[in-house]
Amino acid sequence: MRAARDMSIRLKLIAIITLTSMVALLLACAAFVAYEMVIYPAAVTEQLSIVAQIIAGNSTAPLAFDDRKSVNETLATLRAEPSIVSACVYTSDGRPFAVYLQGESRRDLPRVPESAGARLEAGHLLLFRPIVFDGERIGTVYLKRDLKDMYARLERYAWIVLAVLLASSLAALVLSSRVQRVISEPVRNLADVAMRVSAVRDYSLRVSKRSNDELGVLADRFNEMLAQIQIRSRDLNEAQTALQRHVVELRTEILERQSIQEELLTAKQAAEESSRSKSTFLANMSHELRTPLNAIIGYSEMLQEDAGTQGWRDSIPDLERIRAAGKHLLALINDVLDLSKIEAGKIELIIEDVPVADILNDAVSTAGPLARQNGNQLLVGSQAGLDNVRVDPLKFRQCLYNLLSNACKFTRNGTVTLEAAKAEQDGKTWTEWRVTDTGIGIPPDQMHKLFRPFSQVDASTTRKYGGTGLGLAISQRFCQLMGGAITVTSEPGKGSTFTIRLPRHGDGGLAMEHSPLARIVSGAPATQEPQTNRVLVSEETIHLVA
Amino acid sequence: MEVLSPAVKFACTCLLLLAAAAPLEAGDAGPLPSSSRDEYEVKAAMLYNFAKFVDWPAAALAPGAPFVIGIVGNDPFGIRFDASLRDKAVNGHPIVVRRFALADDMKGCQVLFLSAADPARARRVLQSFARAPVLTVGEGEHFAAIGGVIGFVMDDRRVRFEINLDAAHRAGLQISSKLLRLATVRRDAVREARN
Repeated sequence: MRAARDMSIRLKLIAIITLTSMVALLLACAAFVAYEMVIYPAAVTEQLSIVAQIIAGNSTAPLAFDDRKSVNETLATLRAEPSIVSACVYTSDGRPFAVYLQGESRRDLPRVPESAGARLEAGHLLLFRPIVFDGERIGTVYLKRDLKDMYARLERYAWIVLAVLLASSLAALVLSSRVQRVISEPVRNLADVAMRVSAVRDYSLRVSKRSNDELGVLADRFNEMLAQIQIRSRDLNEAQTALQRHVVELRTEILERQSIQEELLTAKQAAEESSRSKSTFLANMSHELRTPLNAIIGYSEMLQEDAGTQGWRDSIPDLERIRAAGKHLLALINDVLDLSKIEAGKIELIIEDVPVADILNDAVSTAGPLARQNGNQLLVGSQAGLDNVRVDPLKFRQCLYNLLSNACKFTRNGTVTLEAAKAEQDGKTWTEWRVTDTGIGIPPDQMHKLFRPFSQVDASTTRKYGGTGLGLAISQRFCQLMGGAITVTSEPGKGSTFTIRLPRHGDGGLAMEHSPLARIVSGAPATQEPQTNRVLVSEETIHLVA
Repeated sequence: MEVLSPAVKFACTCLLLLAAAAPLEAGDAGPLPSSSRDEYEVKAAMLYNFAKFVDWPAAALAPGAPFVIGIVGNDPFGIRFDASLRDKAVNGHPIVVRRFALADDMKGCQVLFLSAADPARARRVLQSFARAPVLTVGEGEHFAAIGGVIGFVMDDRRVRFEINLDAAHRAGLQISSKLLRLATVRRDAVREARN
């Protein structure tokens, strides 16, 4: 069965056609032979019965008149039919009256006639027929016929069937081996092309279509598939080539970037190194500078007292100048130290709840003298219900003082106002500290420089008004550390408003995390040369200046 | 198709059988010798069988009427004859055997048997029944010649019979060819002489 399944389609088709025709023919022959086997004995019986009837008809008178010879004559004519091997006419009382024998002996005759009918016995047909005359049974005819001819016929049929089968099988074989090509050729063609395609991966091959039947459709679809595969394979190749090219490019780029990265890393390390050394240098320098400065300030104060008691009136103003310069220098150094700490990321905030009233009182006591000095009026107020704020008290006071001192400095005979209020923005609650003055204002083109270290609006301003130029920069950094910012609006000649905005429930640590300070600090010009400015840092100084 | 060949054979056989039924030569036709059986037993059986191979005119035998076999004068058969015919019939008519003396009125008989004992008497009876529908059966070679329809003759102890077709024609009797095949056919002596 497996062998049959693995046969080629050509052989299968031949086998199917031949087998089918053989089976059909065999069935037809079998039906014909079966029909013969039924019909022939019936016909033979019928014929024998007619012969018996004729004999019976001819035997009535001889039987009636005991004329044996006449019946013998009648029976003798049976010689014309060699298949009848024996015949006998019995009298009414069952004795043989006349006998006909051909190749049989008298002993083979039935001793007594049987009842009417025909039966088969050992390849012979036996027939009994009563002789009836005028309603009276006067005897019986017996006939025995061999069936050799029937068996001979059947044998002949068998040979004919065999011959026909062989001949037709041969014909079917020859015919089918020619006809099968109609189906097997296209299939083989298809298989060949498919095999070649898979062997050499040549997708440009095509199956030739020969007919418009299912095989033709198959060939068409197969060709379409090949065409699609061809297109995709070409696209794939192109894509692969492009990809390879890209990979090469990418590798080159990666290598370039790696070298750049290394350079950058080196540069960064160098920059960090230099930044660290700068901060360390500044911290050290500030510390080293403060010790001799404190000595200068301390001794100049002592000399001032001595001059007062000794009566050296002339030297007192000079000594005072030495002491003020010392103090200014100390303030400058402190600012630089703060800035360098911020830039080095070494500032730590201590956030706590501080009553707004305390802050406002403090502002009045520290900025009040400054306001009075320039003939200004200091107004302080807060929104109702604003109790506490969460800030680092020292740093916040420093910021507020810086803004107030600036306002007082750049305003003459005007008003400086400090207001504290709640504000809502970006879904958060803020506390706003607004410092408004009626001073000289800031030109628009200078606004962006305000919060840079060491940049007052111009150099002449520094000479006229004093200050280190570091205050706003430091304040801005502190507010940013606390999660807020300082903004400014100004109109030259009319005044300025500086606003500190801090988160209402801000958490210092969190704010510091979110603060973009590191970048701001690193982006700030770190190596700017400090300018020599005069700064009004204390009440004493104000008195002195005034 | 193949059935034809046996059919042809069969037809031949039938023809031959029918040919065999043609009248046999007189010399060949001879009843079997029946040594065990008495001559008159055979003749009695034949007398009954003749009736079956002869047709009477319709007027001669009314429906339901008995078929009468008459024995004139000497009766060679005896009472056993009556017994053997008791349950038999001819063409549906029950058979009756009657015995007659010469002076008796013998009308109404279908068969009349005249024994060989008295030829002169036979001649007279035949003359009186010359045109009557009666099958006359007698004995001796002269019986058919003198106008009897069937005459028994003996041939080497075998019972045979002669049939005078002219006599049968005169009596209006139709004799079966089957019977004629077995008999010696004769004509009237006068006509034979004339011819």
